[in-house]
Formats: sequence, C-alpha cells, structure tokens
Amino acid sequence: MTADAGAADTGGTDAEGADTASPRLEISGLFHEFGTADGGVLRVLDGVDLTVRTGRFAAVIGPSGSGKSTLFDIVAGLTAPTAGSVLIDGAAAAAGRAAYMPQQDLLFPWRTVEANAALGLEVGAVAQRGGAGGRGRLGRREAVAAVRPLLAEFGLGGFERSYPAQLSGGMRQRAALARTVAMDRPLMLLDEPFGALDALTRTRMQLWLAGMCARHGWTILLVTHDVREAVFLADTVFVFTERPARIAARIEVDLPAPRTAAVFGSPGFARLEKLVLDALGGQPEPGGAGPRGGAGPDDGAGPDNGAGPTGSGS
Amino acid sequence: MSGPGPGRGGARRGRRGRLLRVLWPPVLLAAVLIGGWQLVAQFSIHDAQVLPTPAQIASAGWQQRSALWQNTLPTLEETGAGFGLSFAVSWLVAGLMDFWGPARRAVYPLLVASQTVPIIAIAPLFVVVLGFSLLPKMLLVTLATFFPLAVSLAEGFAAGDGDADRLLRSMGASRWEAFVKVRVPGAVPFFFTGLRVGITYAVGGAVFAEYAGAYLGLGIYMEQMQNAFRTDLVFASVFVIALLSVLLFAATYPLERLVAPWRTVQRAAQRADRAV
Repeated sequence: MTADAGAADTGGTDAEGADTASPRLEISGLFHEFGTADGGVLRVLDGVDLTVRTGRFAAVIGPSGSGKSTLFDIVAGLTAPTAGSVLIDGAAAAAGRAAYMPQQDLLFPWRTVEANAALGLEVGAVAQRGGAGGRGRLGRREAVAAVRPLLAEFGLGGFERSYPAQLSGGMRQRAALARTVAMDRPLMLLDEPFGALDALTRTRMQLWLAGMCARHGWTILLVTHDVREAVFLADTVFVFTERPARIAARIEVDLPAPRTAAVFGSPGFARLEKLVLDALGGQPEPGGAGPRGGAGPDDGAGPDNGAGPTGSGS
Repeated sequence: MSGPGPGRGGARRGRRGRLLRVLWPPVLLAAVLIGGWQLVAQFSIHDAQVLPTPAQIASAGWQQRSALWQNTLPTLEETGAGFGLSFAVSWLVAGLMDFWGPARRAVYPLLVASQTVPIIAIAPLFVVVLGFSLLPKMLLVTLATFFPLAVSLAEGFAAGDGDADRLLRSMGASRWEAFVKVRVPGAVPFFFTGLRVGITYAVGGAVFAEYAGAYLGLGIYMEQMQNAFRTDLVFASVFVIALLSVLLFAATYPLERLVAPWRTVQRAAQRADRAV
C-alpha cells in the first residue's frame, strides 16, 4: 500500500490489525499505455498499487475514462500491461484465473438460465483453473447439475429453464452473477454490475449482494461509478485519479459487519461517503488541467459520463 | 415481463390469429389480380396461345398433372441437392473466414464476384462441360444460393466479437470453444435471414439449368411446351415453380422454431415489452 497519498485512514488500523488473511490480489507498479490513432501514446494507468486480501471486498471508484476498465482487462488476463505485476494467489494473472462479470449481463439468449450460469464450467482447460475447485471442463449436463443449487440460492428457483428474455432486469443480473460465482475462481471482478438497473432494483441488488458476500466470504474487486454503492459494499475503497490513473486515496470502510438497509442512514456511512466524494473532488477539473483530454480507448461510457469527478452516480 | 407459466395457450391462439392477419391481404390481392387477368384474357385478347385465362391454365394443368408431377420431381431433386451443397459449402467457407483473417480477405471479393456472374450465360457452359447429369444443375443451384448463406453466416459469427468474446476469453475458453458455444448459436438468426433469401433463388436456379439442357424437369418441360405453343402449360409450370418456392420459403419458419426455440420466446418478450 504505497500510493494512498494523503488517504484518510478512517479507523483503517482497526481493520488492518484484525486482518491477517493473505493477499489474494496483488497489483504493484502497474502502468499501461495505448498507442493512439495519430501515433501518440496514451497513458491510462500510471503506477497503480492495490491489494485485496482473501475474503475481502474492494471497490475501485473514479472518474469516467480513468482506466478502471483497463485495470479489469489486465486483471482478467485479457490485456498484458505495459509494466508492473498482477498476482492472483501469488501467480501472474492470466485468462481463466479470475471470474469476470461484464457491465451488461451478457446472458446468451439461446441458453436457458441454468445453461447460461453453467457456461463458465463448460469451457477452459484444466491447467488454467486456479482456486480450490480445480475442476476440469464439464459436459453440459454435469455443468447444469453443478449450478442448480446455486440458482435456487440466487432466487432463480423455478426459472432454471426460462430464457433470459423472460426475466426481469434484476433477475438477469442475478443470473449473470450466478454464472460468475459458479466458475469458482479465487477472485471475482464485477464491472459496474448494477449500472443498468433502475434505482430501486439497484438498491435491492446491493442489499442482496451484501448479504451473499457476508455468507460466502467471496473475494471481490468491484468497479463502480456509484459512491454509495462503493461505500455500502466494500471493505476498502480505492479512489482513482483522472487519467492517467493513480490511486488518489485508499479508504477503509469500518461500517459494522452485517451491511443492511440501516447502514445507509448511519452517521458512519455519511462520513465515509463524504470522504470518498472529497477524494474524488480534490482533483483537477477534467479537460482543463488534465494531462490529455479527449476520449480514450477506455470505456468512458458510464452513467455519469462527463459529469465531472464529483458526480456520485446514484 | 412474463414468467414462464402463464400465457402459453394464449400465445398459441395469438399465433393463429397473427397468421390469419398476415395471410388475408396477399390472398385478397392475388384474387383481385387473377380476376383481372381472367377478364383481360377472356374479353380483350381472345387467344389462349398469347394469354390463356387462369381458368384455362388451371384445367390444362389439372389434365397434365401427371406430366407436371413427373417433371417436378427432378427439379425438386436438383434443388435439394444443390441447396444441400450450398449449405455445406457456406458453413465451411464462413467458418474458415471466421478463423483465418487472410481467408476472409481472400474469399470475400470472390464471393461478391460469384454473384455478378449471370446464370443465363453460365448455365449452357456447365451443361457443355458436365453433361446432362444432375451435377451441373446442382452446381448452378449452389452458385445461385451460396452467397446470401455464406455472407449472413460470416456476419452472424462476427456478431460474437466484442464483449461476448471478452467474456469467453476471461473464462479461459479456447477460440474453438468460443466458436462453438457463442459464435455458432449467435449466428443462427442471421443464417435464417440468409436462408430465406437464398431459398427463393434455389428453384429458379434449377429451372435455368434445365433450360440449358436436361431430359426431365420443369425447365425443359416449359421449353417443350413453349415450342408446342401450349402457353397454358407454360403458365401451369410457372405456377408450380412459384408454389414450390413459396412452400420452401414458408418452411423456414417452422424450421427456425425447431432449431432456435428461444427466438420465439425472445420475440414474444419483445412484443410484450412494446405493449407495456
């Protein structure tokens, strides 16, 4: 943890002291640059250090186009970084090591809910599989049998044989999350999982996810535009700067363990929300003082696109 | 947004109602056109060798039904064999194009060029080189139908690019796994669009090939009847050809429901969403 420049340690010592778990994800000195169309170089990540311990929930929040999606591509093993290292359980990140949930639910319309959830078990070589599961590739039938109990737990019982087109938005997101969980990888990467949902459904999903995490002890790295979502769900919030991204602040969330709806109204929640907002707002205005303007190859397609660094997105 | 339970029977009843709504306008229009034709042929032209009336065509066709049927069978056989070959080759070529960039760049222009070849010009050549057998007819049907199939498939495969491909790669899937699990099923709706375009050319392609040289078939039968000034039987053959094409076209819909049942569900859900 080197880059928490002036980060507020809001009772962080407390959490750190209790936390003796080993690091599951270790990102150190991560740089990434893209070649631009006019022959220039666009630096997206500028020395990111970030650690997520086993069983912990970390959130990355930052302005649109600040390199969060690039970070995910690198951790998911889809893009090789320009420099720096990404270790998952001590081994270099590679495709198939982390379970990745993209922004859109990306359920395939020709697969039933159970077949969609089982997809991750049907592909990939044994050698690429990390984690405790260590299963080989399964046939469709075995894979579906393996995910069925999960679907019931995800509130999708009775809809196993339905097609995604028959589900509501919240159910589709739960099915996509079931597909991510079913892969049984050491680390889950959630890329704005609830960004496309209406506010009410989103809040319900956040409450539900908090409950599921408390029960299962998943290790999660979440990217979000939503300050409230980050504070509510995460144990640690990493605030990114404008592109090129560095970590502007690392904020330990010391809210009580069962994160329920009551948490939203607690004074601690408001204090942490303000801390994150301040960390986001204490940055130069986009475009003006930023080192390079213009749209980059990064996603930049968030709901608060162009709203500036203080937008809470909710 | 509907659950899986309610509305199944309603959907079936709705489908029958939709079928009726879809069918009556073209049927009505056809009746009007045939009626007009009957009037023009009966009261203005008076010459069955120039323009027979629909009634004359129907009765001549009915009298010669065994000859028509005898000539329909080889045409159907050529259509089936040619379209089967077209199907196999289009999957092979589109798959090759999907896996191998150079193949895509090399094959695409040739595909387009193959469509600009006039079948009328090339049909006699095929017969000269390959004789009166099934083969030249089969190849002409393939040539006439191959392009829409291959192009729609190639586009369908490419629809699996982007986010779906990223997801599959993040799962550690191989290129082949991504192809089988995502690109092929995702291409099915595209394929049926191409199939509907291609199948309307198929019977016509077989008839053209027979025109250039055959012992039996609707193409050669038409030519013989034309030489015998039996215009009514020429029209009867045309009617059979049109009917075959329409039936083949219509058959793609139940086939699609069979191959891709999820499309029906998806369309119903989209209709429900629009209705809300």
